[in-house]
Parts: sequence; structure tokens; C-alpha cells
Amino acid sequence: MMRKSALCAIATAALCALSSCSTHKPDTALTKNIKPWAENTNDTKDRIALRNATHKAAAGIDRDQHEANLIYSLENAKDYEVKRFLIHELKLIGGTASIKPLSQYLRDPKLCSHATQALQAVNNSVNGAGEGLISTYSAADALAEALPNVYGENLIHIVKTIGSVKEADGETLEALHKLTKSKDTVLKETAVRALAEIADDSSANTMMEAISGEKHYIRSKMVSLNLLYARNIDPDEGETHALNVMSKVDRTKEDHLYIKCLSTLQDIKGNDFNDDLISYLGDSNLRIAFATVNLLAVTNDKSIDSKLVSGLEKKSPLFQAQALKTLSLRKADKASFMIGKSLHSPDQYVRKTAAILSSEAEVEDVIDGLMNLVLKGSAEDKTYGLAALHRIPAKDCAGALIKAYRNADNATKASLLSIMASKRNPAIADLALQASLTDDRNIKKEAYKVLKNTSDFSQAPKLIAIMKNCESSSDLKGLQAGLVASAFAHENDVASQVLKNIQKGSSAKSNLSLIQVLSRIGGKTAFNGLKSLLSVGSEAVQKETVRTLAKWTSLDEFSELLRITSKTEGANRTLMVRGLSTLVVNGNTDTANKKSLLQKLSNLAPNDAEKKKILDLKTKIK
Amino acid sequence: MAKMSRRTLLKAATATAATFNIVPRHVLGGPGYVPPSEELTRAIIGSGGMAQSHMKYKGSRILAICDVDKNQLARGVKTCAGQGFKVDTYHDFREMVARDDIDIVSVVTPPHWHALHAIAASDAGKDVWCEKPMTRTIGEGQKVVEACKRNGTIFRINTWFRMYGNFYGSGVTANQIKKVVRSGVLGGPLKIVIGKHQGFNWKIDMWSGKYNLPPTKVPAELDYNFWLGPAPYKPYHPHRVHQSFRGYWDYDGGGLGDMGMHYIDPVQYYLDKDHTTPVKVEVDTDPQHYDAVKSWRKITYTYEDGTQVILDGDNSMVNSPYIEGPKGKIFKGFRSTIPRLREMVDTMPETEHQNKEFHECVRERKKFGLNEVNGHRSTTMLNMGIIAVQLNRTLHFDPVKEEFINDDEANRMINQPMRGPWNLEGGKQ
Repeated sequence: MMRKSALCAIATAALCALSSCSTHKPDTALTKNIKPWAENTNDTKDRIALRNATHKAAAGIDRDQHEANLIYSLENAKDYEVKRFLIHELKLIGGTASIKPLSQYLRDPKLCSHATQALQAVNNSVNGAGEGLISTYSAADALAEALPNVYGENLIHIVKTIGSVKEADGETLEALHKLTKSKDTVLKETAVRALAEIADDSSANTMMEAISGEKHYIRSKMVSLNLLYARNIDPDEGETHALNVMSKVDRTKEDHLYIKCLSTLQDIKGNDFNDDLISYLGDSNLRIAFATVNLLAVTNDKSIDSKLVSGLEKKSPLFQAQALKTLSLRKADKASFMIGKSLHSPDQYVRKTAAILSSEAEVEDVIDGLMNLVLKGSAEDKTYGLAALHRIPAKDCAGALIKAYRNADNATKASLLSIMASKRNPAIADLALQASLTDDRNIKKEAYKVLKNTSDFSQAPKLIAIMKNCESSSDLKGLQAGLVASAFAHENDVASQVLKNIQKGSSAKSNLSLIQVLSRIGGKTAFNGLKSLLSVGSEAVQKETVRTLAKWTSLDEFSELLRITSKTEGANRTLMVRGLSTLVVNGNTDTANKKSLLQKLSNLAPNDAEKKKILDLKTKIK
Repeated sequence: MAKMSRRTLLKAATATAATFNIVPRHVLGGPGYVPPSEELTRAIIGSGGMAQSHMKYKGSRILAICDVDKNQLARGVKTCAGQGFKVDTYHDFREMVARDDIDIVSVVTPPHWHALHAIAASDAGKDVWCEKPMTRTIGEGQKVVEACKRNGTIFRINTWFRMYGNFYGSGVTANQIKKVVRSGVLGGPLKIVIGKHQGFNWKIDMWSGKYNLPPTKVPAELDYNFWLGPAPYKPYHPHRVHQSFRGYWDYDGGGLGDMGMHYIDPVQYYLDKDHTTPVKVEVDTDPQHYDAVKSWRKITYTYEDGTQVILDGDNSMVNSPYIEGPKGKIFKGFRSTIPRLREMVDTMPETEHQNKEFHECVRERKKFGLNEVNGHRSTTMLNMGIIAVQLNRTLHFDPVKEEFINDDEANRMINQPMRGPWNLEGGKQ
């Protein structure tokens, strides 16, 4: 875009300046107290008040008046700090009236960067509001006027801002072209960026020349800016320019730049570039191949899906793998089927890719292939096959997992069980029950995990029956976890079944284990059952019952637990008091109630040391 | 000895599948040792406090670090040496990211640099591991999203609570909360309160700025002009840099900038709002200082469906639940008015898989769980609050256009002009 004629600009600038000054009589009430920091370091209140007024004005009708006040104050301020502060206010609120006053500081060594930032903000705002169409003296005019007369850092600030406002006349463009030859790489990059932003057709050769002879970061930047230029100009010209840039890029050593060229061409050409992109899927440079997958994944051209499927039949394994990924990301109609089919590919890499993608596919398309990998594949097939099965919901694969389990060796059985642990399904829980009876420790261990996660009410009687005949502590622990899980939402029913199987006089591990599990099951039935065991059980049963009550997990029965505690003695009393302390601390109640309960509990402490512990806990609760 | 980096290997892989499969890891590397050809490499921009953690993150070999403060750089060299890495040092990040042998660039600088550093790394073909907040402005976030798209960059933000770990005061993972929210047991719309009494600390006093700092001589070890970079020039004072920088609007947003992404991003995740942002933000605050971040009392976000997120800055919401719906409440520590909620969660349907292993994502070119796209949305939410606090007024936001409605001043804060020569304008490159 070219700047308006200079003559027009001068005439309208004068009109604007007149109108901005005559419409609003300056009121310096807010600005007169703003002092330089060096002079008065305690002017914070005044500055905050002014900033607040700026915010209010920006949202209200007195915006023009406030802007006029700021401009007047800026023109009359003497101190650099004050000017800087006022320029920042104009950055937030300034309109076209602020452009000329701000331009006065473009040659100022200290204020140029602040003025250019403010001009940029003003320019963005007035253009965004459509005000630019009737604007008289624009930010581009101000910057163009300043350009021939600035040096060093100020030159960089101004060149950068010319690019940001995206507007320059012929003279300015010519000056920018010259600056692209600068040996100062920062100045060169800034000028090239400005030309890319302005996107004038006449800059094409200068832009290309900027790439030559540069290395590393600067070369990379020059390529990027050329591609920005290509995107900003007319599409036909842009395509030619991007292809020229691509021809200068070494695809082996500069693959990231090559990818950027492909991405640019895709943006310029749209779907017309898709066939070219497909050919890169099998590129020997994996970074390019992977990047192409992501580029193709987002196109809206459905016709590429059939080309990808066709490639799966004919092309290299590398192409096949990338085509599968692309189909999957695109959620193409045939993606799921092709992933399933590829699980049987003779190529390991294709099988691995298909296994990774299978969680995105329909289960019926992939389940057989995954089972095949797990049961008959290589070690790598097995790893990826199991990982894929892990991600499939239970309802979709329980049957297949169970079938595979029956045909697997012991090591694979353990792996399959570890997958089943995340899948809640009655058939899987039944299988785990059977698995828990084997002699293989690894299988047992995994089976207990499955039971813990998947048991439901229907497994409870079977678990209890197994527990009754078990004397191994570790096995009982695993079975307990399964029983607790089976009691979820059925705690009273399961507790009732457990209580029926407890022998009042037996000190066998299995019997004590059934007592222990009652505190984890919880509920009224379990609690009442434990209470009755206190009076009718043998000494060993009573002792275990006290231990179990000490681990009770609900505060609902707290008063009753206190009563029970009061009847205990010696070690049992200590056990109960300690257990109930933990219950209160972790309990689901508010702080005041916790403190009150601990106070009551402290009265039952068997000795001063225990009492102190409880009272310490009470003070720590917040 | 000439080393073959993974990048070189990728470039040279004519029959890539075969290359990966024929040479087993143990043949090249031996037991417990990862061969250079499969090892990812990393460079770190910024060598201050947070970077010390990045130097200890496992999964990649650190080749280079960069800082504009010589003392910090020396400290970084020591830390890296402690991890077994002999690193090259740089003053200018542009030289470092131009290296061919680096896969990942960690951006561990003050937020006013995040977008510039992330985009420079992305444009140089590196993947990016960026500290939070992702960007200091909404406009910068848009540019990072564009850069990652055009370069095919794998991007992660360095907060993780949407993926794993107990989510502060909630006492459970964000994933577990998502299951509850999705199940509908709380009803809707929900009200979420994030404050001290819900188990979150906004660190407002810790990261407040100071007034009237007298200009001070810049220490010899620090290139202050480079440290400022795109930020407006202000006279040097030690409180403006290194950690306490968070207290100044030019570089960050105080405690909100520091902790916001940790606290807000998981909320966006569990509310299933990754595709959008709130449409309104209201603030209760005294007028802010023009330079130094000060305290605020409340920031209230409202989504289009009426869901509210309230940030409690003055710790006054003592008895408020963390999450409240018409049918139930969840308090700090996952205490709930719904009986046995914790157990119920185990029976609720699983949520979608998230890619939690960044290095695996880099190897397999998969999007990381918290990436530039959903990260930009949660950063936008954060930055909406920061702008509203500065302007001290209610703002309405259009999540599609990503701009404030009828508020020119607020919109000027979406894209804040940078000090030359630094620049992000221009959109796609």
C-alpha cells in the first residue's frame, strides 16, 4: 500500500492540528502535578490519578478532551521522565490528533522508542476503527519524514515501526532497500522484515538478495522473512517467490526451512498443493515426512484420502506409516479399516505405527490384529500391541482379552492381566478370580490388581469362599482388596455375607482376615457385627475386632466408638485412642467439630503421654 | 570424536524404519546407557532460578545454555556440570538456537520474552518447552500458535496439573475432577473459587512491585538493554530484574502471572473449555499503579454458559466450596456434600487420553497434552484478568475473534508494540 501524496498530507495535517487544538480547550488539572522522578520521588498518587483518568476517558465520552489535555501537557513538559509518562498515556488512548505531537520525538535519542511504540498503537487503533480512511496525517507519514534524519538505535526503531504500520511511499521503500545491504545485521533484518510487512511487488529481488551470503541465524531469518513476504503479496507472485526461496534451501542441512517452504506453499496454493505434499510423505528425511503428515492432516480436501489409501497398497513402508498417521489424524472414513489391515503388514515399522494408532480406530477393526501381535508377534510387536490394548475400553475388548489369556504363555498372561486391571467387567473379574488360584506369583500379583479394580457384588461370595481356604498373608491381602471393591454400593449385603462366614472361636489367619476387612467395607451391618463379636468371640477374635474397630473410617459411629473405647483397657485402649485420633483428623467434618471430638477423645487417653498427643493434634488442626 | 546427533540421524535416514529397528539400543549404548543417536538434545534460554530445575529435568542431554547475566550463566554451567553436562554458553539466544544439533529449546526467561524466544526456536526448527505463563499478551499467544503451525513444532508449557499430580488444594487430580464435572452429579452451571481457603496461594505480596525506585547503576555482569528486550526502556533497579521482575506490568503480572497458569489451566481442562475462553471478566480492585503490580481483591470470569471462576485475591471467601453446582459442592481436600464421591469417581467413565511424555511427543511428532493451542486459551484467560485489573473495569470478550468488545484501550493491550528491533508483527511467516 502506498502513502497518500505528500501535498495532501501537509494540507490535511494542518487542518487536523487546528481542529484538535481548537475543539478542546486544554485542562491541565490532572497533568500539572506530574513531576520528574528526579525532582520529586513521591508523585505516585498523581500519576495513578492520571492513569485512572486515562482508563476512564478511554471508556467514556471525554476521550478527546483527555487526549487534548495530554497533548498540551506533552508539548509543554520540560522533563524527559514526564514526557515519557505522557507518551505512554497517549499509547493507551491517543487517536489521529496525537500523531503529529508524537512525531516530534522521533529524532529524540531518549524518547524515540517510546514515541514509535505509541505511534504504532495509535495506528493500529485508528485503522482498526476505520478511522484511517479519513485520517489526514498518518503514522506512516510521520515515520517517512523522520527516516532520512535518524541514525543508530533510532533508525532501527523507526524502520521496525514502518514495517509494523505496513505503509511506505516510494522514497521510503527505496531507503529500506538500501538498508537491506547494511553490514549491521540487526538493521538489515529489521529492514527486510519491514519490506516483508509492506509487501510491495518492487521488493522481490531485494528480498531474495538478502538471503545470499548469510549463514546460520541470519540466513534462517532471511528465509523466514522472504516467506512472510511471499504470503503477503499477490498469490501467484507469492508462489513464484516461495518456490525461488525453496530452491535456495538445502533440504538436508536446512530441513526446518524446507518444511517452512512447504507450509508457506500450502497456505498460498491451498488444496492445489496437496498432491505435491503427498509425495513428501515417504521423504527420506523423517522430519520432512513427519511435518507433511501434520500439514495434510488439516486440509479440507477429502479427495486426498483415496490417494493415501492407494499409496498404502503400493508405496514404501515409510510412506505407508505416514499415510496411516495422516488418515488417522484426518479421521478419514477408511482410516480405521486400514489401521486394522496394517497390523498384519510384513513390515515391523508399519505394524508398530498401526498399533500406536489403533486406539483411534474402531475396536472391531483392530482387535484381531492386536491379539495377533501380542500372541504371535516379535517382542516389539508385543510391547506395542499390549500398549494399544491398554487404551481400549473394557466393554469393547473384554472377550478378546479373555480369549487371548487362555492361549497365552505365563509371561503374556501376567501382561494381559495388568491390562485388564484398568477394565471394569464382570467376566474379567471372574477370570482374575481363577487366575488368583494359580501358583505363578506374577500372575497372582496381577490378578489381585484386577480384582481390586474390577470386582463387583457378584464376586463377593466367591472371594469369601477363596479367603476361607487361604492361609497366605499376601494372598489374603490381595483378596481383601477385591472384596472391598465388590462391596461398593452393597456394603451391608457384603458385610452380612462376611459375618456369616466368621468363626467366633477361630484364630486362623483366614478368619482374622475376614474380620479385618469389615472396617474397610464399612456400613451399619459391619459395625454392628463387629460390636457383637466383642462380646461373643474368643480372645483372639476380640483382639482382632478391637484392632479392626480402631481402623474404622466413618465418623457416623463415633459416639459408639467412644463408648467401646471406654470399656477397653491397656494396649487395646491405646490402640483405639490412636485409631480414633486418625479417624477424626482425616474425617469429613469441619474444624470446630474435629477439635470437639478430639477433646472428648483425650478424656479417654490411657495416660498423660497419649493425652498430650491428642491435644497436640487438636492445636494443629486448621 | 564425531558424534551423530538424533537430528542428523533423522536427516540421514533413507530407510528410517530399518535404521530404528536393525540397531538395537543396547548394541550402541550398552546397559543403562542411551546411545547418542537416540538421545534428544536440549538448549536452555535463561539461567536463573527456574532454569535450575530445567537443567535437572530428565530425558534429554543439555548442550548449551544462554543468559544475558554472566553470573547467572556461570551458575547454570555449574548446575549442568552437576548433572553430567558440559555445556556451551551464549549471550545471544539467536546464535544458540541456530545450532544444528539441538532438538529442544527450553524457554526459561521472564514472560516478556517468552513469545520471542519460543518463536525464534520454532522458526529455527526446534521444539519448545516453555515456562508459564505461555505469553505476556494475548496477541503474543496468537503468534506462538501460528509459529508452531507453520514450523510443525511440538510445544509444551511447563505446568502439568491437567495431566498428572494432585491439583493443589483439590486433593485429587484434575482428571478426577473432570470425571465428576462430566458426570453431571454437581449439576450446572458451576461456580469455582480459587483462593487460599480452597487450597491455592496467589502469592500476591511476594510478587508485588515497588514504587519510585531510584535509578541505579547497572551491574557489570548484566546486559540490561538485552534483558529488557521488547519491553519499554525504564531505568535499572535491581528489583526490576531476576525473580522480583514479576512485580512489574512490563514483564509479568505479579502472583497472577506466576501462579495463574498452574491454577487456571486445569480448570479450563476439567470444564471442557479448551476451545474457548470466558466472555466476561469483572474485577474488584483499587486502581493499580502504572508500573508496579499491586494487590487485587477478586477477579470473576464468566463463560457463555454461565459457569463462573472466581479468583479470591484477598482470601475473604472463607467458607466457599472449591466447586459448587446446584446439586452438590466440593470443598478443599475433595470433601463433598455428595456421599462417597471419591469412590464414585472410580466408577465414572475414563476421559480422553493425554500425551504426557514430552520427549516421546518430540520423537513421534505428537501434540503434547498441554500444548500451544489449549495453552493459549488458558493464557488468554489469565491475560484477560491482568488487563481487567489494570484497567479496573468489566470487560467483555469475544472468544472467536479473540478481542474485547467495544473497548479500544483493552484491545490495545492485546497487541502491545515492542521496542525495536524486537517484533512479532506480521502474522504467518
